[in-house]
Amino acid sequence: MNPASQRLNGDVVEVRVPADVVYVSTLRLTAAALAARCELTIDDIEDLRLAVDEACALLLPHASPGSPLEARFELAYGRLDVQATITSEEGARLDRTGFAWTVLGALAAPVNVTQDDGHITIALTKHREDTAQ
Amino acid sequence: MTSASRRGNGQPSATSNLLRELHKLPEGSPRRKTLRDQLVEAHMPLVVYLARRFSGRNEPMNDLVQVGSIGLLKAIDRFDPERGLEFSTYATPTILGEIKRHFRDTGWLIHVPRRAQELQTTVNTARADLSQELGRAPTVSELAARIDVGEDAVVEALDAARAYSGVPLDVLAAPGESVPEHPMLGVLDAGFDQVEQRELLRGVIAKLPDSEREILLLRFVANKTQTEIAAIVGVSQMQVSRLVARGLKRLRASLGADEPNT
Repeated sequence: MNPASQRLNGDVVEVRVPADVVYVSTLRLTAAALAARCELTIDDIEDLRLAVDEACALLLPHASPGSPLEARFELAYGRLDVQATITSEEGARLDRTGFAWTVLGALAAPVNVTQDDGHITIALTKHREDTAQ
Repeated sequence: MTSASRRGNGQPSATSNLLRELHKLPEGSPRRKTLRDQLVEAHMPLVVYLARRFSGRNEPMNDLVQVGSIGLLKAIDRFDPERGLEFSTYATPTILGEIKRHFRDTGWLIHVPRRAQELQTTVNTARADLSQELGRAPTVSELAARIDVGEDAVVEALDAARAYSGVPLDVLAAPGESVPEHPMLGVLDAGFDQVEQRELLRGVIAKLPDSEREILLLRFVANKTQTEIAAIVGVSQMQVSRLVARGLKRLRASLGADEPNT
């Protein structure tokens, strides 16, 4: 572990964008840039970019018009925690039967969903391959 | 979601029955091919879905679907129905792995430096052309349209490649210069490496105009890119490029060195 990556442990980066598909690439690039800081491997970063795509694909259909998509990244050496939250109609439920959900689960572990108070959050963790669990 | 996935999820027994039967068959049984074909067909939408995630990277969809199908076949052959795992959950990483391996072999994932370098050269050329045409620096979307790649790819070429792989030396070369043959850094290194010229150089550098001296030092001592220097000094990247070229020319002339055949 080099000194620079020790320093980032616990750093939190928050990004708030309109809940619109055109901003997904912003989150994807942010995630990739932060994952690089966490010294995840290129393959991990690739997985993470896809996972961010899938998480957004699951969340955005439920976002209330004009509401933000909030992303929170917590950095650690060999590990990046990502939380994506949207404001939704009360009672909205994520589609957990489709490809997006399957793929998300295969790309990042663990993946957790919390739905309450008109908010839906997908929390996922990407470990560096050789430091997983 | 597609109807195929609904069907798959509505009747999980169809897939798992096929897999169970396949698993019990001996190697070389003709029935295996029939079962595999059915399983491949049933899960093709998953392969296409995953392949589409990698589109927009100058790689034909057909190729991606094909390599993804190889992953699907591997997953079908290796899946152990007794472990009680959902097949699609098991197959997804295998299919993705095969697609990633394809990019690795054809030079995306592992060869990021080379790929970034190629794209960097293209981006630099387009940047110089567009800067001249527009009378200002181009936007990312203008660059993307000019060289016919996605905006993400351009942003990455400009920036993220550095995070992945360190700064490729070629990034430091002037836009439009034919990089592999004449990396500007290499030319300068040859001069710097000759100790007897150092003293001489010191004197010559001291005589350079302030703007050229500052930019050359930022460029070759602090190892900043032209874009970074442009931001620090507050001039355009094209202006930095010109000042670097002019400063180097002045240095070479003062040292009596021949101009390289660029």
